[in-house]
Amino acid sequence: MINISNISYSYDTNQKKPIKALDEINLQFREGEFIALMGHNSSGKTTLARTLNGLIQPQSGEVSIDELSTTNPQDIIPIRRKVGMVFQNPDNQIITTSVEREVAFGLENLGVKTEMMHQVVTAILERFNLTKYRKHPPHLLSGGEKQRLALASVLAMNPKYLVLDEPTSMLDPQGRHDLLNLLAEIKADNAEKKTTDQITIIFITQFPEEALYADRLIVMEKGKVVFDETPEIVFQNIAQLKKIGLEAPVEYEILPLLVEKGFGVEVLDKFR
Amino acid sequence: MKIKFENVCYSYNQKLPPKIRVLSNINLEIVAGEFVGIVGPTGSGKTTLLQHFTGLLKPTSGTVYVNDKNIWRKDFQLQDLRRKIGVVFQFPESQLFEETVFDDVAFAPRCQKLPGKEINHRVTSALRLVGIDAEQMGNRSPYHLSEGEMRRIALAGVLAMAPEMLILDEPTAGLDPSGIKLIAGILKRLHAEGITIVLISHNIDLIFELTNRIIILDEGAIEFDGEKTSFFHSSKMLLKTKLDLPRIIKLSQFLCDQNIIQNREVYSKHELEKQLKVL
Repeated sequence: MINISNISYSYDTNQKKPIKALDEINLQFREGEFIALMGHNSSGKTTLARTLNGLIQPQSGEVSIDELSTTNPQDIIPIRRKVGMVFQNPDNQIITTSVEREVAFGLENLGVKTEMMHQVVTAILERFNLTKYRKHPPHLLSGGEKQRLALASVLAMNPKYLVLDEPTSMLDPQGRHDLLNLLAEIKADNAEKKTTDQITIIFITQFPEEALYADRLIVMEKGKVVFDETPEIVFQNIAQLKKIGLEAPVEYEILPLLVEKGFGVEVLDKFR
Repeated sequence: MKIKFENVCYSYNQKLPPKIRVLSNINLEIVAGEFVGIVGPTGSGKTTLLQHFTGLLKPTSGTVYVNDKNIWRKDFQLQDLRRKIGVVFQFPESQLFEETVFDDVAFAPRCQKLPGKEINHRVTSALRLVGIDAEQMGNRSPYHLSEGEMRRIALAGVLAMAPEMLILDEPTAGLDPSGIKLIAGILKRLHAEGITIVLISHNIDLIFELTNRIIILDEGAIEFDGEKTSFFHSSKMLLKTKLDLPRIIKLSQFLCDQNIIQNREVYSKHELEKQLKVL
């Protein structure tokens, strides 16, 4: 479990008006949860994500991952093994000269045996539909393919927590579907695993319809959590969402009209 | 300004394996005053196509004409062309580099050695076009602004060259809904002022809202090039090119299938609300 207890973080602390990116946040992410995180630009989403593996140290409060704490310097390396990150722009995290090397890079650093590594790389490339690019240099892949590669390389290391920071913003609709389906697969696999082996997904997105894939939706505004409910419940608060610069999927915007005409909320259940 | 692509083909890695063909036989013409949307799955060649507009890439075969002049003839001044066609690349905020917002936007006009007065005028009007007050923000560091603001400043930097044509590659990627609305508003205004715009985006709702003409690229070839109305009538085409229908259209079709509304042809939230109200 990830336990975020009372963390705060400000940028520009030496300026007159520091910007509070995180303001006394308390959250718990349990094993196997699929959590979406929304908020307008500069609401604190990315800062929060970066505290989860110690890329950012909160100025007060504590983040603990299972029995580890990001405040202990000796815990940082094991934490980064547990918490895999995929960023918005895959160019920022791809470093090697070929697709297969990219996937192998993390494994090499973990000291995985060569034979085992070959197996994992082959399986992962297959699963992510990248086998045909095995020997290609990553910079010749398209944006969507690069993002698949970034996710593949992170998952090859078998993290327990997967943090994705707007991974679909550069993808085309097909790429988005593919990525969301991969996340849905991870979620489905969780059902067959022991609780301790389940992968927790923390998924930052700007697209309300993508948040519908999650079990739980956290909405942030000015460094605070303003909603923490199922997406279906959050999206019924259209007016409040608008106020903080967010939108609900269009079906929730017309829901009041449907309800007025005597339909129940469940009318949308079949629409995805 | 008129741009014409004639049988343009392009392959990466022409001399070494693996040779990757990205564009095949592209023929298209864009004339002054158009607002063209280019859509297509990732890897379909959109960004590569964009790089041909200003001669950043040279076609493997075929060529590009600007005002009927072949841009790959020795006597053609590519430098001039690059001033006339402003290109806003993906995540343009990563190109910001100056210490202040003003200096960053002023970079191109200064390189053109324009007189100081003209530079001032260019910068303030470019910033005004993107909704940023030069007085208020001009002296701030571009790095301490929000992502949406940084992107608009990068856009102003291109506008300060006073381009006749603007090509944008995914200008709304990563922005929140209000940021997207701001960019959409800016593009509408620029087009109204006479700038020709080519917009590359995955945001089909945005393309639908802004452009008159839509080009679909798939595997490096043009699959469709025409009016947006005929584009949305052929939803089969969208499926084929792995594009998504706008959510509003999907929702209307769903409600129609559920016998809640009668008319399938709904293209905006407003129209759908109207239909629901008369139920």
